[in-house]
Amino acid sequence: MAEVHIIGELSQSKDFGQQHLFCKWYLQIGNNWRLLSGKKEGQTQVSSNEFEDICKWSYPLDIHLATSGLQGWPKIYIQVFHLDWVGRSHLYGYGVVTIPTHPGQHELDCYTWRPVGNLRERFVQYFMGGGPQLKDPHLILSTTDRYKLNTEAMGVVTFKITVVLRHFSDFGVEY
Amino acid sequence: MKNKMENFNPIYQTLNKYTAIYRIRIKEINDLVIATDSELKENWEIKEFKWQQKVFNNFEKQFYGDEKNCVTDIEKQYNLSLINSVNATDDRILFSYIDNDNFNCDIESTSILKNTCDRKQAHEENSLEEILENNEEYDYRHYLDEAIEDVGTLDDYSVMFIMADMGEYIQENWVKFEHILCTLKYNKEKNILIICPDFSQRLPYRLQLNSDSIRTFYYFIENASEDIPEELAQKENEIFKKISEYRLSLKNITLNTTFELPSKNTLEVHIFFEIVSGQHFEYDDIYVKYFIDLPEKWTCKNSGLLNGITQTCRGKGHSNLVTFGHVFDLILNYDIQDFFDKGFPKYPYIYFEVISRGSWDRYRCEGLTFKCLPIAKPDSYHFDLPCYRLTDGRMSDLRRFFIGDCSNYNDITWIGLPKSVKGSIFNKYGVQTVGTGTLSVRMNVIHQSQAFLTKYNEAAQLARGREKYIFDKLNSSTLVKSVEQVLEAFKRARENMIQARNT
Repeated sequence: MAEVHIIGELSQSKDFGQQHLFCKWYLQIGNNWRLLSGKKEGQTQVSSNEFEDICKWSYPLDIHLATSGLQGWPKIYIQVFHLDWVGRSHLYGYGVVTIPTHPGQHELDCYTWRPVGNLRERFVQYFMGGGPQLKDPHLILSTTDRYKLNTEAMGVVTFKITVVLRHFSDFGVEY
Repeated sequence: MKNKMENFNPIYQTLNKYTAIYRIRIKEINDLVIATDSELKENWEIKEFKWQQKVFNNFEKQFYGDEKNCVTDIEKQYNLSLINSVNATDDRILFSYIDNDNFNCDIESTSILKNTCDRKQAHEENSLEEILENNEEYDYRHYLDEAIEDVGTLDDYSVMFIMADMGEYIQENWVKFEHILCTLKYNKEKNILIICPDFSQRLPYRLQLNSDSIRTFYYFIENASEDIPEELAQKENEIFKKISEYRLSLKNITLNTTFELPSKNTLEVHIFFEIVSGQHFEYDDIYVKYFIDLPEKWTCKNSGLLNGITQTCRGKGHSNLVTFGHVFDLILNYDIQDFFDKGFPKYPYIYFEVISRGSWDRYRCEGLTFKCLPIAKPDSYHFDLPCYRLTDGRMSDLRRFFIGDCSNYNDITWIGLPKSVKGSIFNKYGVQTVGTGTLSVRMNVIHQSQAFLTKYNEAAQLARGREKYIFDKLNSSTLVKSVEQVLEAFKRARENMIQARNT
């Protein structure tokens, strides 16, 4: 059995074109993985910045995982939301990052996207907010059904992650 | 002997606070220069302190000796212990404050401040040369240590102060003039014992008191603890070992399967792909088609993953940024036997075609690119792949605009190293292309093979970290031996089977 530590932070978002953003994150791991300590999902605070198109979250991540196989390597998928002035939250992006397999410090940019509707839906969305969302967020991770989606590019979420691997070399794994 | 002043670097040691004994030696020496040898060596006041051992000073002896002064439990306890002890007041100057005494830390900090003031004054008095020698106007470590010590969690500590009282009797009454020699703090949570200042090395600490007359004291702080007997230390180690084993077994229970290993003689290459983003493509609404070309001796169990399509993404911003965040995991198997036959493996390639979908479903090719999969070295990779598209003059451009020119090639591997090319020169003359945007991809590569197991190659274990390139590793002679052993065992088994069938 090998172990993985994921330590770091969900650092910031940029280029979303809006302030008052928050982010929900989920850890996706395979069946042969177990969570030893830490959280599997979480949500950041709402953050805004007066001067730049950047929202700083500095949300801490500290996850300890055990595994009995390389398949299902941990990934983090996120949903970014915008909180508007009447307290409604609108979807501002989906994204996913694979946790690096190489131990050490990594700065990962997660490029996000969100589904777009047809012209009429976009017209409504412009004035009313809202917009289409994924029924099943696992579509973010799927590879086969993706081609049906129409999306638009949103901002970038930055992760700063340190990965520590243990006991992998006992099982003939080179990292 | 130089004037070795107080160096307030606390030391962090994992001493056991209960067994630790601290010995203090102190003596008033007014001038080191004129002191004789015998003066330096004799008549030190020596006192050993245990953790939280209360030693009374003269004032306390007077105070707690009188039962009327004692109200709280602790005070009564002190009273009892004083009555029971035989000797009354003496002239000893060493005593201690322990955790129960609620000795105020403020006094401590002011006294440290005073010490540093003293030091500054001492500097002024020193000659220029000495100042040059002791040139430590801003000592980073000193301030760092102070900052570490000055955290807001002081209340978590149990403390003990070893003090000196240089007071004197003025008409029967003891006038105290106490001073901190050494501060001991123990943090139970973090299991840290801080002793400040550190145990003195060769030179003693100097303590200068500026009362009516300047008095100078020198003192040593020594660690007088006995070492743990070897037997106990061994036992402790064993217990620690057992604890860690138990913890490991607990983890194993939560995950009660053994680690998956690939079959013998294969190298498993796990690649965690991520098609991240693209930039500077001409049209909006872009998607990416990818295809992985596996050479001989490479296999993939789930061959459906070898090609795929991302979602369609509308670009944004000045650089027409499109984001995909398309992840897929691949497990490629390589036959190690082939490596020993040929000496070098053929590399798999991935090919990308970036396509835009315009109105009326006009599909246009926005760029082609390829990448040789970086399987030689496990790492986390990020690539920005430059793209180009094929064109064929004006007609082709018109067709692209009006109809779309998606998949206007015969063989996508042509952009890389096509298999169909014969001869010594690979000629791309006469083909017109247009450079387009860039595509960003991330790949995390990790290898697994039974050949890397330590039981097969101890030598590789030694060389770990140096030979990072996997094919260097595969080449190690011990490994070759191990594979040969496997093959031999297989041959023997087959012969046995044939014999069994014949008889």
